Amino acid sequence: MRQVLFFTAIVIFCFGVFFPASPVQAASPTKELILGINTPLSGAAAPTGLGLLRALELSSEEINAAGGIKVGKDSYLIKLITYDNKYDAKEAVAAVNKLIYNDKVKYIVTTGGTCVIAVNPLITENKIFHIGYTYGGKKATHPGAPYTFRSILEPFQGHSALLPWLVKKYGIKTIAVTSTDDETGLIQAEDIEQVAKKLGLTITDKVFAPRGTPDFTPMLTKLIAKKPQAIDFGSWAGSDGPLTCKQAKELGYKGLFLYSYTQSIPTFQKVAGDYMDGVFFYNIFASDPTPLATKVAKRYEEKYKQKFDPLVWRNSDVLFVIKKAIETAGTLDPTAVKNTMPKVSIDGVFGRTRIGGKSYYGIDAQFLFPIPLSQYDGKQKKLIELYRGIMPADF
Amino acid sequence: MDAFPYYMQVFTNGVVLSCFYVLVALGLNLIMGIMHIINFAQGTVYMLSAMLLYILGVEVGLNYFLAGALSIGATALLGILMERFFFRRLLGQFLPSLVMSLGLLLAIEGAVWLRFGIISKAIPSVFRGTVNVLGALVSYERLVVIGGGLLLIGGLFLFIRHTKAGKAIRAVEQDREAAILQGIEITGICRLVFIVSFALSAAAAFLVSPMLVIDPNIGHTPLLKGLVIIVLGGMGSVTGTLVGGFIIGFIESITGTLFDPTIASIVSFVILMGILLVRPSGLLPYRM
Repeated sequence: MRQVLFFTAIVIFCFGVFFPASPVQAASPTKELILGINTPLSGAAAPTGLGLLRALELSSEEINAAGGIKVGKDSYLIKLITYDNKYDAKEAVAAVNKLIYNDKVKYIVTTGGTCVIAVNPLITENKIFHIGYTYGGKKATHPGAPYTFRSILEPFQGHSALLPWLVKKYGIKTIAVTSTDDETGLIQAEDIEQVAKKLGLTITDKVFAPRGTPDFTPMLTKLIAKKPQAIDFGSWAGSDGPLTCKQAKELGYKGLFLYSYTQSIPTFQKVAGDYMDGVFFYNIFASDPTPLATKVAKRYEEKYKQKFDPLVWRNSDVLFVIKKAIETAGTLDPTAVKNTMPKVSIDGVFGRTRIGGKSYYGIDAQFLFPIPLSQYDGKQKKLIELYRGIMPADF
Repeated sequence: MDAFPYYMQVFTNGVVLSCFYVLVALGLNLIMGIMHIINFAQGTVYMLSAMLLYILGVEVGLNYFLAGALSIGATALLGILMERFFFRRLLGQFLPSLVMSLGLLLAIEGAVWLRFGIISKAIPSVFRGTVNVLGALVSYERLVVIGGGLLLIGGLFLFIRHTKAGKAIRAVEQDREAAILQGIEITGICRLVFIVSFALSAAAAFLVSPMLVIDPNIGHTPLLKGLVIIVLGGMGSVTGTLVGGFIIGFIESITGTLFDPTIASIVSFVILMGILLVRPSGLLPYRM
């Protein structure tokens, strides 16, 4: 036995002398930046979640094809890890826990107001750079959640920029509000109430219901009974949004239909069909807003072999903004990157995109870009852009 | 909205909801009454039938009525297979059948997710337009739900009360051993009950699908309402299911209009609990 061990040691020694290991390879120049995606991929909010996922897939592919994110001499390719949060706060927290502790990610995107509000303490405690694809108002965006940046315009910005135009054009004096009975919906209702009061509008009624309600007719009967000149459909999204439209029209409502929560137009067309005629949409461009947006739409159709969903534009700039912030900060450290964000602006799919919102939220953590108002023309079967608003420079 | 048209609207909304829930609940109750098991996959059967309707009517492009007939037929066939391979051995065994039906619910929903993905589907309206019914604007789709639903419920009642097979079902429900002694073949009755039960859920899908959206989750609400209705009406009681279904449908319509859908659900459960405190067996127990 001793002899066997001795000779084995000799053989190993000889290999080490006559066949030395190759020189240590230089570290691969390409590293990874892992982005965690915490978004609904099932349930009524699934189209919203899928829109985000596809936007990030397309933009990460484009950035990676151009060499990734450059920090010093290193290049970082973006890798996506996705969890389905079912638009549920508990699921969202579980997903973020997995992302932080199992997957060790430092950059996360979360969809859903209730979800973002629920994960914010975890995000702040662990200093994770966080994008919230959500409304949520001041509950989601505030100085106590400094690592969270909202990627989409809120109804407050939409209403502030667009409702005055609608009031002037159509002479609206009364408006009803319906929304989901969660944080997003309640905050959205508060936002429109705030703007409506400034404009001297009377809120005739407010009704809330859970996402995925199968039949909205009882709720809409109540809303329509008071004959409002306009109804804002709050945060009804996915298939809920077009179903409310269809059922309200079946009940004979003839006033203005305002969808201030960005809808998936293909889903809306499938579910509402002809009832979509005359409906107003915030945040949806009738035609490609910029050549860059056209490029994104074309890539989407090539990759997914489906008609482009304009919902995807909402998050097409997120990774480019993050890239610019990282490259400006010169580090991947989330704290340094988040401190750099207010200085970042890019030419995005909607036009000039910057980070602001301090005058309203107390912190510059809101993506700001031009806001369109479009209306669906049933005869031409397409959206017509009526107006484009922007938030003031000091917002 | 003026007062009478407003109440008329609430009334018609209530009738539509009631017909929808009663059809699914009847299917649930028939199986409960004969086999003494609760089929938690009943809502999934409704969903599956709606999906099949979508495939045949929209993707394949068949006429809606032909697609409906095929969908109901296929769902009834599914009932035969489910009874034979999953539930026959579990006759009278509550917990094992509950677990089995939950497993089927998850398996079927998972398979449908894989096939259809996450985007909701919609079947284009077959009966377009609305009509003024005593001041209330009711879509033709909803009138079809009311008419079709009442027709099916009436048909089921006639079947149960006036046909040989229906009487056999009642006999088995009342006393299985006595029914066997009378020469009634239990296996055949169970199979028939599954066929009728699944066909009722498929008929509900045929009637309401153009009105709502279709996705793998749509079976949850009718299942939950169905369970509430059969407990409220009395387990095993077809008459009780009808009464319970209309109570729940109207509660939802009235409270959903006065307040909101969330309060409507809460009120349904509060009323259920109140009735059960007074009549623990339900309103009309064991009366087919």
